[in-house]
Amino acid sequence: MTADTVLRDEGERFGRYLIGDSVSPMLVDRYVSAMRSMHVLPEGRDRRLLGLVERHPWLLGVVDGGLALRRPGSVIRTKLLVMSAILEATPDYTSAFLPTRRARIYVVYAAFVGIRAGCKGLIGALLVSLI
Amino acid sequence: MDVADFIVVGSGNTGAMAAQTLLEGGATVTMLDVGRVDTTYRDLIPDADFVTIRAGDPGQHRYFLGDTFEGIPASTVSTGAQLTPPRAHVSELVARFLPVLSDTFRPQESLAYGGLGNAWGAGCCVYSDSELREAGLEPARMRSAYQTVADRIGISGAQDDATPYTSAGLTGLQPPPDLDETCSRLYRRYTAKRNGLRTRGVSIGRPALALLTKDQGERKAFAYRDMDFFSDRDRSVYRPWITVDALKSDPRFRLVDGVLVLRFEEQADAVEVFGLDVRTGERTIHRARRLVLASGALGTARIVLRSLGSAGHTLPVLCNPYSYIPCLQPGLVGTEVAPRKMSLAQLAIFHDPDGTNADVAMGSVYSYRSLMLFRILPQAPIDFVDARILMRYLMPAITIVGIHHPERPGPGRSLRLETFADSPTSDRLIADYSLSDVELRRNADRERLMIRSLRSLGVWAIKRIQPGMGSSIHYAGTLPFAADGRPYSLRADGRLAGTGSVSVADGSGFRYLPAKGLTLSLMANAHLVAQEALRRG
Repeated sequence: MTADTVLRDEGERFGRYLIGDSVSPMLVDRYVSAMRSMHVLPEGRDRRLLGLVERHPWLLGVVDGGLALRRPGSVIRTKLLVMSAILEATPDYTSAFLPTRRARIYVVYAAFVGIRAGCKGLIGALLVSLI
Repeated sequence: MDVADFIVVGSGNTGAMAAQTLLEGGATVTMLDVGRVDTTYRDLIPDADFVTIRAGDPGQHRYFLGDTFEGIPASTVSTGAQLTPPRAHVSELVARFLPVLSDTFRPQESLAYGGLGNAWGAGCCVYSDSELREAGLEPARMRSAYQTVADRIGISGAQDDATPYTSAGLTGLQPPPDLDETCSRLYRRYTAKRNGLRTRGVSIGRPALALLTKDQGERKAFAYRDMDFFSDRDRSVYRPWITVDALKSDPRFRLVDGVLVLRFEEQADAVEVFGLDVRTGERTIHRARRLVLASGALGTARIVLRSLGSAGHTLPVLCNPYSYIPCLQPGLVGTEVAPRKMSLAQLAIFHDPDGTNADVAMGSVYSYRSLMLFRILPQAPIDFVDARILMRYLMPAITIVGIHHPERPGPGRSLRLETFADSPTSDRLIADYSLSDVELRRNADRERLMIRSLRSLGVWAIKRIQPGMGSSIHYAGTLPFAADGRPYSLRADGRLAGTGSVSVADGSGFRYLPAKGLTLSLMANAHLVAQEALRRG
């Protein structure tokens, strides 16, 4: 596979992870372009972690949460930040990023999300330390 | 062209004010400036508010992220990390032409047209008489100069508890901009608990801002688009290039851009200024009868050290210690954000422990949304998906308080030049900046008191972030005012000691740096320095 193909696959995977849906080829191209501009190169443990989430995309959330706790400046987190920024600066996804009025009961969901994030972080931290 | 009466170095807030005063006094002026401008993004930004742009402009990624994705910061807490792509030209070429080596001091300098004024938050504060005296400035003359500058740049503000710290004595202010729900809620609670807080030395009020709330000439009233750190299209926020643009229509004014001034030499009847053309690398020479340096405290230090032939000499430096504190108002979680917003500070909080307005810490309260989530998501110690869901929910309740502390000279704060072959200027600044344990404790105590005060108003601090020395972007005190004319000092009139025709119009002379925003005082001092230079003829 060429480097661009790898980045394209990675962009699609990260986009789907972040927004829960496949993203357009235009945004994937933008991600590839960003990676080329920013020279974000994985080495060592980051390369192994990228390989892991490539084989098991369902682990991405756990790895992301673990890295947020253990190594927030890691290459995978940087790549996810770039894809998140690209999605945020796209009209199609504006509603996923701008605040909106929520019913009071939403606090229950927010608490659930917070607990979920904590669990992912703890499991992920353990996983990251093993890789 | 004939030899100008004055060369002014720099087009930032102080250079613009000095040049205007010199021209109004009948002099001819040549302004030397590197003058980087943003030509990439400025015309891409629609004349619309943040939400409309976000929902409708397919090209928004260019100015929100940047063509080379420079708007996605590697670190969100370093100096200058909050510069948006349309403001990135503020720091363009700086690393190459103004290198600084330091582990403890990370300054932000600028070679842009308008200098650091392009990224100014527009906060205006007058110093109290005691602050002015300690800084080496003459109170009566500064009061008059404050008014002159206020009339030139246009200031809006209110009469409230912030007034003694921001706009005391100023007349002709425009009405303050409207508060959004986040800040008006905080202000209402402060009003209810005002007496208790004032007894602890804490006051909150509306900041004075270099922002028009009514049309003034070609400048338009503020439109609450929340795009203030992206676009200056309506010119409602004052930027120094507005003044320089206006000066260009005067035939006695000439702007020479692309020139980085390296040093000067005084002659019998003139001063020669040696520069570097940043586009071609060629050396340039410019002559005038007098020279006014307005390159900022660090830029002027470089020029003076080179000119006086003593690069290894150590100069003092002052910089306000700075922290910022993301806070939450729980009552606003999950609420809707009104479309009318502003990115500038809406409230100011002051800690004046003995009520003398002499040793005051200042916090600026922001609740802007155009920061965009990607700039804060990495701060959350959780995965991006859940961070986005939670931050989106919390965003309407997020308030950011930036706290500046006053700063006095002390050991461990110094600059010097050293030879550096890799720089086009053949040198670089070596800087050290450290605070004593006593100072660190004092600042931490102040921040804790402000945090407690905010908590009593329903504003909960999430964390305290200290981006490091240099991040306040307030620099001064490299050539402190001294009456005895000692080397590397300024006379009260701004003249560089040991010279007859060189004045310094930036903050190099300030012997003390109050926590209150210094820009208005810098401009007022620049006006006075220019007046004195005119008077000497």
